[in-house]
Amino acid sequence: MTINSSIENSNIANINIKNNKISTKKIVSFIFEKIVPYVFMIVFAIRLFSYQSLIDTYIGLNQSPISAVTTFFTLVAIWLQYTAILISILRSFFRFKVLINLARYITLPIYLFNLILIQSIMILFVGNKQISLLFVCYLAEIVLGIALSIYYLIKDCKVKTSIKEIAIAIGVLLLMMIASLPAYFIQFVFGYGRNTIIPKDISFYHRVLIYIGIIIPIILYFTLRNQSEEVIRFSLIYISLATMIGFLVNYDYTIFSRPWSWPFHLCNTAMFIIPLCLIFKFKRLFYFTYFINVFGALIAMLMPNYEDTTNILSSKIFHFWFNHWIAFFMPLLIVALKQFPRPKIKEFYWSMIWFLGYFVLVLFLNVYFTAIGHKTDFFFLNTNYVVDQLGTWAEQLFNIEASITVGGKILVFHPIYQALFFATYVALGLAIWFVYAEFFRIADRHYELHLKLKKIKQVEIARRSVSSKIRKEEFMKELETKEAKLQLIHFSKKYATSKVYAVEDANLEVHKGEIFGFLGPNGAGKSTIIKSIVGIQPITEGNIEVCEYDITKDAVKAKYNIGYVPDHYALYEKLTGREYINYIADIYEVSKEDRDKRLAKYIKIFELESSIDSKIKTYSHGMKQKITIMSALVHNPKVWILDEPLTGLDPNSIYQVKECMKQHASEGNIVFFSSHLIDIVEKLCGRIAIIKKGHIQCVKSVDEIEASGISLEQFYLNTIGNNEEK
Amino acid sequence: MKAFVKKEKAQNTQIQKHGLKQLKTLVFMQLRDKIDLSFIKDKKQFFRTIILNLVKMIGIVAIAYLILFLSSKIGLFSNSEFPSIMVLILTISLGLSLISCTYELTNNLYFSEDNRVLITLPVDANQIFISKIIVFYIYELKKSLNFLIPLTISCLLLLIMKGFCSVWMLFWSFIPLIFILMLPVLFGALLSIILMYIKLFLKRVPTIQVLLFLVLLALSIIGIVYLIGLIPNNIDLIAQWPTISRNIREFLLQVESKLAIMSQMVSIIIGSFTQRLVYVLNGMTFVKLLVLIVICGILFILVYFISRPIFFGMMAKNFEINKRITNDKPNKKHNKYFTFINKEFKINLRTIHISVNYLMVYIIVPILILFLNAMYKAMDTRTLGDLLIYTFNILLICLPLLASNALVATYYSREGRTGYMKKTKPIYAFYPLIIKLLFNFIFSIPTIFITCAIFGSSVSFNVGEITLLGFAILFLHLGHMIYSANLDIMNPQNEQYATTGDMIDNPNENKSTVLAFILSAVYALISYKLLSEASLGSTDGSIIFGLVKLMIISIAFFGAMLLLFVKNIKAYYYDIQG
Amino acid sequence: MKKSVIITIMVIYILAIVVVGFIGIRLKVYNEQKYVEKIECISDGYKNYDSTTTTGASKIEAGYVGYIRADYQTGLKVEIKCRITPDNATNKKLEYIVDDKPSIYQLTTNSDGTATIEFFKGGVATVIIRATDSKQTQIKIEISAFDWSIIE
Repeated sequence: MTINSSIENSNIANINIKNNKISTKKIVSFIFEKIVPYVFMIVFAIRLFSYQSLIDTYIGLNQSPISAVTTFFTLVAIWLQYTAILISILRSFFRFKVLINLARYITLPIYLFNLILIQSIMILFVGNKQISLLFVCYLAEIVLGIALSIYYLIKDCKVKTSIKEIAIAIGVLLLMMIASLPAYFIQFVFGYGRNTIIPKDISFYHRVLIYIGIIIPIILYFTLRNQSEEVIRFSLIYISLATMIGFLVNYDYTIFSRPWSWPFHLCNTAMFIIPLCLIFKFKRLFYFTYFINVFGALIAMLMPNYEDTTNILSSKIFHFWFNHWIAFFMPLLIVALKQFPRPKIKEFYWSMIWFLGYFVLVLFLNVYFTAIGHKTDFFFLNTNYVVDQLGTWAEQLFNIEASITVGGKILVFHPIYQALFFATYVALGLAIWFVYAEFFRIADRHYELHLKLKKIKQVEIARRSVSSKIRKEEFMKELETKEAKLQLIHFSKKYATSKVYAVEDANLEVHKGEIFGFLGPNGAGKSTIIKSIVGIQPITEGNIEVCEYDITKDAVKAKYNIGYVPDHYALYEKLTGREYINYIADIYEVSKEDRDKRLAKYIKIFELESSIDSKIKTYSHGMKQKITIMSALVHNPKVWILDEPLTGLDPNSIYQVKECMKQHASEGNIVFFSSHLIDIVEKLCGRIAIIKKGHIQCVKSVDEIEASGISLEQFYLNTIGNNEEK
Repeated sequence: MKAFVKKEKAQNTQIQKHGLKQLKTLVFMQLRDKIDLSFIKDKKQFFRTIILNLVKMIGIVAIAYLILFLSSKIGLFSNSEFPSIMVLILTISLGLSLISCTYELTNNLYFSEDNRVLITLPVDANQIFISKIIVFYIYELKKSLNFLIPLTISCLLLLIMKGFCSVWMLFWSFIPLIFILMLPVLFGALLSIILMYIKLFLKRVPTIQVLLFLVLLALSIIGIVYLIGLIPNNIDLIAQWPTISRNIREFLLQVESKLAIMSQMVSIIIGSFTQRLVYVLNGMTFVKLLVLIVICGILFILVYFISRPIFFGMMAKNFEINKRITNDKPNKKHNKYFTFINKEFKINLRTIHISVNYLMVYIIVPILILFLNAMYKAMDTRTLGDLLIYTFNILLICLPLLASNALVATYYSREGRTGYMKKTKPIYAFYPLIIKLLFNFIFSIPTIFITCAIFGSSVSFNVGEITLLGFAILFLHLGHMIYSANLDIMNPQNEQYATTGDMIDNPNENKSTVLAFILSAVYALISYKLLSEASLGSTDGSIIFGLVKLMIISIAFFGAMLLLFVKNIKAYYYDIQG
Repeated sequence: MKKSVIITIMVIYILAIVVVGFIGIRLKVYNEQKYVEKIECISDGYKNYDSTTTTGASKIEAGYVGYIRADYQTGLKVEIKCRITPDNATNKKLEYIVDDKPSIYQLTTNSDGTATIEFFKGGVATVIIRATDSKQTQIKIEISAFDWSIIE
């Protein structure tokens, strides 16, 4: 009893311990995955604004207060810190292989590296090693970072990885570092270089920068479009956050007291709006960026507003171009990768409303701040920067001023210029929308094409014609020895536009020497089956085999064996009869002797001697039909398929065609035709099939039917009349 | 007896009335063929058409008035030469009408198919003849609303504004015009006899038809090129203005003296020039009008007695050339791939009306560019002007060529149901599909290079640069051609062509044309940018760099389009419902 | 081709000619024509009238700027050479105007812009040298061939 209870107790104790373990695990994971990232974010944000930076004043390593080598490594450490922080924070929201590896293996050394170099980092940032808010925050970051890395190391220890995957993770890290490049890095490390390179006015370097802004998103699109949803979302969020941080690095806490220096320019707002919209999925705000910002960024890229003396390696350039590249391509990339749906007119209206709001806000900010003495020009509304580029007529428009005095401050507006600006922008936005829509349509179509081709390759359909000569000779020999056979195996066909099967589960086998008739009411599926056999329509399900060649997999070989007479003659009216038949014979590679023989024979049978050398345009209906029949027989096909061949012919022609069919079948070939003329079918065919509403009702031989005492006509009407006839 | 005579008279009048009614029906029946009179039924449509036509006429009057007013203001001609302008207009207009009337009357009177239908109707054959003439006359009246009448009105307006004649002249002028417009019709009817015999002769020997056409074509090309060559270089309009205006005035005076008959006709319209320096209707005017009416009457009688019997003779004839019973032609075997080329060649040769459409573009474009550059050479341009010359030349070379590719966007659909048969043949469809483009490709090569040579020689490019430009435009043209073919494959219109033989609003054609315009504009802009750098730069070789870049862009475009075409055929061609 | 397409192409064609005609033409620099501002005689023996002397002042008042005095001999030819200011005047052609006195002298204009007076007897010629551009700057000089043989 006690042993049992003790076992029970120990069991209970075990369960309790397990529960405790589980609950500790839960608490730990809650802390590390829910609380720590947010604390991390707050610490990082404080750190960003907490100091007045000296680091962007150094041009070249020799200006640095510490030795060049240490400076270089310190800068790299700072750079890596940004990347690592983002990885650690984002890790708690995403989970895929590369990120997992990054968060546990790669970030730890980065934090340790920073810990070692923290004193140099402080010197570069603020010039001294004193304990300041910056120092504390930075240290806190490193500690939190290390803690998170260790947590993930433990948490994901069950996830196996290989050296290759770690190498991939390092490669991805290097790519991620591009987005988080601090603007001052290049100028600090390399100095200004040659002073003569000025990327402005569509000079060569300017163009290179523009091309980069176009090529990078294209590369991103092609690499990302095949990835999973999670990876795409992560990549886009990472890029937008990293560049936003890079953008914010230029500002410090003093900015809060100078609202006229806040980043209210259009493209500046994009840096914040894009990550916000991506993370929280704000649709309307996103479309504002999509319609307005992209276009504005493009114009800014074409007419940059930095001075002519700005060197290409300076931080200003990096700051400007990163800002505008992101504002330009991120919204487009986001829509292209289907993170947000393609906008419709409703979204356009909403974005125009947002734009109006932004416009009014910026207008008043400009005017107010100018009135209190700080010349501001957000969105270029308040100065003549834009009109300068346009010409004197624009200057005159700009000079029309209106001023209001409010509470002692004179607010100066330029009403006509500003109103025109707004109107033009809206109009251009609308025009650009059409351009976007077109580009996206094209991109989508290409993607569909790409997918379809991949599918085709996977199914391995060889649609090339027999090319090499050796294979050709073998094939020709094969042609002659194969027996005539036509098989439908579970063939079904559904037209793309309808939900109903045109033909469902048709099974049929026709052997050599047979004349096979195909009966059925209009719209039953006769033409569909015939067109699928000859290759005009594709097959939805099942197989069709002609002389044991599959019509989809060995299309060319199968078609060599088919002669097709369509229901409406399809001839080249401008050719003569002889020219047309020779043309067909050339395609089927009929030898000269054969075609001379056959042509002479058929011309005689069909009595076309006097008109064979006249243009087909001058033929009567019957003669055209005869030419079609001749062209289908010139290569002596093993399977001769006719679709309602006898409609509209005079009795003499009907007789001639029937004789042809009998002759052809007697040579061991198949004659397969559909018709409405039951009498003729009765006299001509060996076996028949009846099809109704896409289903083959029955396949019987004519003799069988007549042996049972009823005529074919009666049998047919019975079958069509009710479904249950055998 | 009197009663009998009275009865006969009554009968006669009844027959006459009946005859007139029949005539009216005949006229309306044939008129409906020529002009779309459906708008008469619907009141709204009726008003809309009338107002539209009125607006059109007023527009033409306004533009013509403006041009004449400006011309007289800058001293191109003074008021005494005014009648000569009218003489010119009248001459040109009547001349064109005469040519078109003769040609159409030949077809309509003698070779028309509905003659055979008309002859079965219970009408007097005379009436058929008269009805045809009347139909033509009404059609002439309608055509003159577009050209002659508005111009006459604007000339008169100018005279009225200058105070040279009164407002009533406007109303008077219509009366002589009615009779003047009869002249081309009646003359045409007479001349058509000659033309008819020529046509019969040509029909018997078709090779001469082709030869004649080629000779006429060559002569007209040489003539136009010669005329263009007469345009001098570096005309300084402002400095040489007195000479030029003097020459023009002399020319106008000569016109008036040489075309005396025409000036008489003009004087019927506007009256004679009196001592009081106004144009006034006087006795002479009415006399001349009478003479005109008499001439018309004589012509009508001539026509009635000469053309009518010939008309009767021709009406009943059958013009199909009898089928020649030829001997057995041999069967020719071709290579599987060559046979497509052979077939296309034969069909293109035999559907000459479509090919001629093409031919015209390929011949007219070089001539247009020649004229354009002759005009440009006559101007003394600065750097911006030189750049604009490059840009506009490239634009106007590309635009007609690319716009003519709209036909390619209907090639596959034009085959109708025959097009489906391609899928049943044991040959990969890509090959026959691309062969259809072969002839366009072949014909476009000489045109493009000749045009580029013309352009290049007038802006002094060397041979290498001309070749580069030629290839650039060639690849652009080919790329767009393949794009149009692509449009047709993805959106086939075979059914429409199979049933109706032609399609009015083919969406593929429209898309192809739109892209042609956009491509030409963009290409011209790019060439402007590239060549402007080149000429602003230092060395001569930089034009070559600009052209090389243009060529790379064209080749990239061509490559992309070809790739897309191949991929689309592979993915979609066999799957599209046929 | 469709009618609308042909009409559009024709319109663009005409526009092409018109636009280049208006924008592309090199402006003839009528405004930038440099007028002849000053003419100075630089012939041998030329002297400016001195406004401080009585003769000089009265002559200058009468519009003369200077004189050439030569001794008459048979076949005396006096060359009139002038310097034009500014040097890059658009139209440097000068015209020489004298009263017609065929018995005393004969003025011929040379191809290089100078002029020659040939004297048959002693006498005085008043020559007006004028620029042929629209500003028509001019100077008046006196050329006298003094025949000493009259006195003896």
